[in-house]
Formats: sequence, C-alpha cells, structure tokens
Amino acid sequence: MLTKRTTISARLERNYPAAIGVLTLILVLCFGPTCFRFASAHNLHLDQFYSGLFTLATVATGFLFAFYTFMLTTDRPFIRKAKSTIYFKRAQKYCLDAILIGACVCVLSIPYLVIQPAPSKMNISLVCVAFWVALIAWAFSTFERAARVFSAFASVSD
Amino acid sequence: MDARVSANFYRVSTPANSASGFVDQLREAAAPPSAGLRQRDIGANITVRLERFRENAEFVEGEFSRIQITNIPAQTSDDGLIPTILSDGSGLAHVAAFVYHPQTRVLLLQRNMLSVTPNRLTLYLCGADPSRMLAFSPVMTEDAIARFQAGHARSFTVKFAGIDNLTGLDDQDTAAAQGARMIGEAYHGADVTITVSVGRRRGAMLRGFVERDVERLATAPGVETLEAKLIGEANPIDLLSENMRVAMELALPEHDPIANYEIRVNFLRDQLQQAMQTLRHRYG
Repeated sequence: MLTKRTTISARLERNYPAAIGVLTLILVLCFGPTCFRFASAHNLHLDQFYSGLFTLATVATGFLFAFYTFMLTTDRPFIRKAKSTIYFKRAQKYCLDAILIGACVCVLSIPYLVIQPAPSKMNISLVCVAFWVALIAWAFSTFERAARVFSAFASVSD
Repeated sequence: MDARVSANFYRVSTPANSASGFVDQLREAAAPPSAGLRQRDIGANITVRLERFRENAEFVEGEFSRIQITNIPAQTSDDGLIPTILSDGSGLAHVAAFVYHPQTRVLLLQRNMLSVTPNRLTLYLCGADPSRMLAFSPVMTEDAIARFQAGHARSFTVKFAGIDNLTGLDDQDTAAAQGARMIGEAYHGADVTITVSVGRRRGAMLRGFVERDVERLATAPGVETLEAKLIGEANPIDLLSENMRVAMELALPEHDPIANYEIRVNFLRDQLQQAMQTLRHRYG
C-alpha cells in the first residue's frame, strides 16, 4: 500500500505541471471566447493582462536561476552529501525544466504583447492564445514544483 | 612504546541461530599453523590476525594484531624525519591482548584504537558469514548497575547517528520532495525515547528484559548515546560511557614481543580475576 502511494506521488510530481498545462488549454478553448467578450464589454485592460503575465514569467525565471546557482555552488555539508542522490538530481532537472519553459514563455510573449489578441470566437487566434496561456500555466506549475522541492532541501539544517 | 595499558570489559553474545560460539570461532581462527594464513582483510584495507591463542583451565586468552601496511609513520632523528623501510610483505603490528571467561561470557580486551576493536574483532571472526556475527556489549560499572537495579527505569533515550551515504536511500518510486525530507531526517539521525511503564508487581520481572534490551541497544550499530532515566534520580545514567574498564602503567619490554605480550595478558587476567566476584554475581 505504501509503495503504491509513493509510486502515485512520484508520478504525480513528475506529470502534474504538464497536466495543468493541458487542462488550461482545454479551459481556454472552451471558455476563452466568453472571457474575452466579457473583457471587451466591461472595458477591461487586456494589455495589462499580457504585460502582467510576461513580467511574472521573467521574475520567476530569474528567481529560479538564482536559486539554482545557489544550490549548485553552496558548500553546506548536507547539500554536499545530497548532491549524489536521485532526489537532488531530479530537483535539478525540475529547476532546469522550469528555467527553460520560463525562458520560452518570455520569448513567445513578445508577439502577444505587441498584438494583444482578444478572440471572441473559435479561430486560429484563440488557439494561439490558448497555447500561450497553457504554456504559462505549465511554466508556473514547473516553477512551483522546483521551488517546493528545493525548499525541502534548503530547509534541512546542518 | 606507550606503557599505559587500558582494557574494556565486554559481554559476548552469539546469535540465537549460530552454531559456533566465541571460543569455537577463536579455535577456528587459531587453527592455521602459519601466522600469515591467519590474517584476513576485513574491509576498508584493514588486515587483522590472531597472533596468539591459549586455553587455560578457566580463561581463554591471546592477542590480536592489526597489520598496517600502508601510510607507515616515519622515524624521528635529530635531523628530522626519516622514512621507515619495512621488508617486503611485512607491516606494523598494532596489538591488543585479550582474556575471556567462557562461563560468564565476559571478555577483557586491551583498548588500542589502532588495533582491534569489538567491531573489527567480530568482522574478523565471522569471515563472510553474517550469521556468525557476535555482539560485544559493554559491561556497566558496579555503581551504574547498582543505581540501575535499585531504581525503576522510567525511560531510555537512544540517539542514532545519521547516515553518511545518502544514496542508499535512493528510490525511483519516491517523489523528490518526499525523498528530500527523508534524506534530511536520515542525515540528522534519530532520537528515540522508550518509556518504560510497568506496575510494581511486574516491575521486578520485567527488569531482566529491560537489562537485556539495554545490552542489545548498547551494541546496536550507529547508537551514539544511550541514557536511562530513573524514577527519583535527577541525572540520567549514561549507559555507553559508565562501563567497566581498567588501566595501568606497565614496564613493557620493547624488543621482545612475547615477553611484552605476557606482561599485558597477565595484567588483564589479574584484573578479570579481581572483577570475577562481581561478574559471577551478575552473570552467573
């Protein structure tokens, strides 16, 4: 029973950011037009929406990179010993994944910042927006995962 | 040579399913006539051998040596240090004499951290067979045992050392966050407090079980501290350090290993004989 539970939690940890991304894609494709119509009807500032997400992605990526560098270069005895374990190697992979996806989000956000699409029906523009929002959801989930795993390592005192 | 000889008392226990006891294992180790055939590498580049073995009417006695063949210390001279050149195939012998009393299963082993410790001794004697591994429990001092037996143990606190090799806890099926917490706990070791809760009538009966469990804990691998708190006593008994030991300055000949051994083993035998009344009373 315990083995089954740990296997489930290990699989969940590995796959939940991608699952959240796929779920977000479906949600945006289903409810995106309604949301955009609502924003347009109430004069909501969509430019701030694109700008805000872009800023968040850049800050999170920069923060993770600093965190990653600290964990690799620190001379703390526990981290030194933990470096050879698969848990630390997996945490490093999660961190690198988050940095790479965050960087992709930053670069891909630039056209959205310029165009600021607001599709009110199903078309290619909505698909593009849905992919972008899904990518952002995936990036934030990977960021949350990397930060949580690295916090678990950082919280162990020497 | 350092003329101060010290020795610790240990109670020897064999595993329940083991066919051979300590003396049988010593006899086996002593069987090869050549000293070279008696030496064994017990791991981590440590070579041990039984140098001498003798069975008297009451005691079994002898001497172990740990053979140092690498990182040989240099000799000193007025001009500084000179390398020590040993002949091919030989090494430095760090010796530890012992005297064992089979009836009480008490061993008095010369204390020499460079030589044979109880852990090295059991690795040497059991060979590659873990079922033959012996346990060497330190024998508590009379004072500690009197306090322990007079009072009622309220609780025991055992501190297990953390583990160095964290990769031993690697498991592909464990999440990284969970694994990080797990290796964090393993790194720090564990403090375990065992509370003894018995009524007055059953207390005396259970004391034997408690003492047996304390002996087992004292020799468990990785135990750093083992303390017993007694009802009515402010200070806990440190069960790992309040152990019977003897020490004395002896006039040891420097160029005669056999005479040197005889003086040390005679000293150990005398000390064991002096403690025999207490040990017989305790262990029968």
